[in-house]
Amino acid sequence: MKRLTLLAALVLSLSAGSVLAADVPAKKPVSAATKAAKAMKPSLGEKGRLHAVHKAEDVECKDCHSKDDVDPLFLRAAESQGSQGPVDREGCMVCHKSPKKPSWYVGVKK
Amino acid sequence: MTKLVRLIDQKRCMGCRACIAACAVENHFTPDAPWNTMIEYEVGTFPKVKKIYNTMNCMHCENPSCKAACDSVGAMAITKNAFGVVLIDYDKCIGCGYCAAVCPYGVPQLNTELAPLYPGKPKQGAENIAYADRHPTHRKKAKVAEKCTFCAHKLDQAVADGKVDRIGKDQAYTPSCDLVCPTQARMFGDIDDPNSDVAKRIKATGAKQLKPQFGNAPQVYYVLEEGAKS
Repeated sequence: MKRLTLLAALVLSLSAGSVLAADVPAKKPVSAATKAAKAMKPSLGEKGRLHAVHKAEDVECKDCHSKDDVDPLFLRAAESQGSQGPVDREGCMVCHKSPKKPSWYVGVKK
Repeated sequence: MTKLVRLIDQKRCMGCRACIAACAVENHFTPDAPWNTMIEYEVGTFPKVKKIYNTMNCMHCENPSCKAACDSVGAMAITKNAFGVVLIDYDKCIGCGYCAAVCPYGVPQLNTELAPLYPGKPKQGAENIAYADRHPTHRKKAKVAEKCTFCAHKLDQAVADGKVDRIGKDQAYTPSCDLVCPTQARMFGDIDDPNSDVAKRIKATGAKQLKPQFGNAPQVYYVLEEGAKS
């Protein structure tokens, strides 16, 4: 009887585990391009690490560098005057709110 | 505790840029890497339109995203001191620009080259001080990040003179931009002291921090003009 109970508990726990596992989305494997980009020396340059990592993650230039509805409240002289390519940091939070992505906005709860 | 904050009153600001000129001379920032900028934009619809003047300098955030980014790349060049002032150590900065990329206010600037305040003319003011004798925040280097320091050299002097209570009151211990405003649109002092002028005025005017959605909790407060972006 004791063995039967243990066997039933084992079957139940295994089936519950598979149900729970089905709820968790499969972890996206890190591509070789992303790994290579992350290994670069940190740099903001057009061919630097920051841009390389985003490119490896299939983020298009226009996804961040939009000319529409640009937030003017930036100290940066060139950006605030409406030059090409300003990045609205609020746009960063669309992706970077994900717990799996790094965030520098420590006051924002993920 | 002393927590230094700045109040900027958009309703008083007339966009004269005296604060920017004062900062340029005091901290000899280069056009490439301004520490203080005037943003101008219009709000409303004709015929009811008006211009908003919004000076931007470092917000000296409670939760500085620049520091988080700097720490993440291992440079550890950005610190926040006991007054809440966020400072960049030029000797540790690796010039990656990640601080500039993440700051919601676009504050840190990569200084591409060292340039005189007035090219082709004799050195002005603090430019005459020998490099080694300058305050660390004025020992500029090319290709590192720099930004407003709340005039850290003056705050350090207040500490050295044992006159922390005079910060925001005496010229020698108050950031230059806050001293020169002809319309008294700027104020600086200790928000933790409920009797300080700045704390009273922030409370009385309901001044707000810009872009609260980032959770950075800036130490610069704005009295917003009607219709102004926040």
